[in-house]
Amino acid sequence: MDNRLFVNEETHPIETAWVIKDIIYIIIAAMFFGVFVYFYLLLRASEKGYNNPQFTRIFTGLILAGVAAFNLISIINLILRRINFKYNFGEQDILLKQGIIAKSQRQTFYGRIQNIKIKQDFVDKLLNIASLVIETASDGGGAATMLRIKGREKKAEKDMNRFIILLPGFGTASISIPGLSYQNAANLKNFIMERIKSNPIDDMHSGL
Amino acid sequence: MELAMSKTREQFPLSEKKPLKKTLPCIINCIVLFILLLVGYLTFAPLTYRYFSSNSVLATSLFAAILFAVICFLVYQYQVWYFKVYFYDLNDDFIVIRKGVFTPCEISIPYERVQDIYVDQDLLDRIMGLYDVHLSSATISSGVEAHIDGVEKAAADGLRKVILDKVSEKIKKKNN
Repeated sequence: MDNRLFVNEETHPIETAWVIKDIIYIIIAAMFFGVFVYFYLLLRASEKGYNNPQFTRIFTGLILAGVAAFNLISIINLILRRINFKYNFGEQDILLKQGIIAKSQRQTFYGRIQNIKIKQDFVDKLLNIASLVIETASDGGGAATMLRIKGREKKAEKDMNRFIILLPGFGTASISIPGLSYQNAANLKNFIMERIKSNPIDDMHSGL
Repeated sequence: MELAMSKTREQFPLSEKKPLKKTLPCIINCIVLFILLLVGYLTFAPLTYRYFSSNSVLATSLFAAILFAVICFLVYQYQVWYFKVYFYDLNDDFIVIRKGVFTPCEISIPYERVQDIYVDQDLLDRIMGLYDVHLSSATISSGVEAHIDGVEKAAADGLRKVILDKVSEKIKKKNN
């Protein structure tokens, strides 16, 4: 029987907790950035002689409006992204659909999946949610970094992985489904592993 | 708190020296910083003897020493915790490695997808006799993420042999 009906984004949904968490991350990042930009520009402006209170009020208002607008757009973007991300685990492939305005669709055969990662960041552990990342044999992309940490390359990669906010979807190659409950993520992983076993590739020498 | 055990970990255990090896870079940095601090005092004391009484130098050195000791201790505790939570298992179909204390990351690679296995040692590993076993599949990041580090020679060779055997068994089965 085709499992396409049963293993999809309705039975294994992206939890609301994750959307809220992501929104909070973006708001905090925007605040930090906004505060930094605000004081820096204010300093530069007062150097050039613009220090009357009326200017300061207008400037403050502008910056606040800018940050608020950015936050609003990000929130709407995240919510719409989550609503529009659909995934369907069938017998031989995974069918994914995403896109708010520009729609795209992707099919990944089980036989082509190289490895499966389940990641949790610090907050995820508290909320008991996890992200499922499915990688195929191309560059492991498809994530958006919000904060970058300095350091040697290997350490930077590890730190980057810690702070990457995985957006739902498929970027270049890896598919990421963040915000699943941990149990659902583990179930999906086992499901995929079973399917990989029952979908062997003819030429197994390369493992691709 | 007990170790995250599995059959594989019983057979090929992580070395007990691993938390120490991971703490050593921190310890070395702290010692170097402390020495630099003392050297700094010694160099500049004759020039600014009015500002640095010998009591305050002693006090700040003591404070720095205690601070470094606390930091090294905390790092060691974190590494011990990391060592306990480290989980790896060779199932029938795939290899699973889970590590990380605050940000657990689990990677599962089916045997058929293993491209190569390499074992390496960095400088501290060589001093302490530890090895890192890396698995890579056809993705770029898996070589970095899928590794079991801090095993001794017997365990490293054993792991390598077992994984290679399972991989070739799976490949042969598909060709039959």
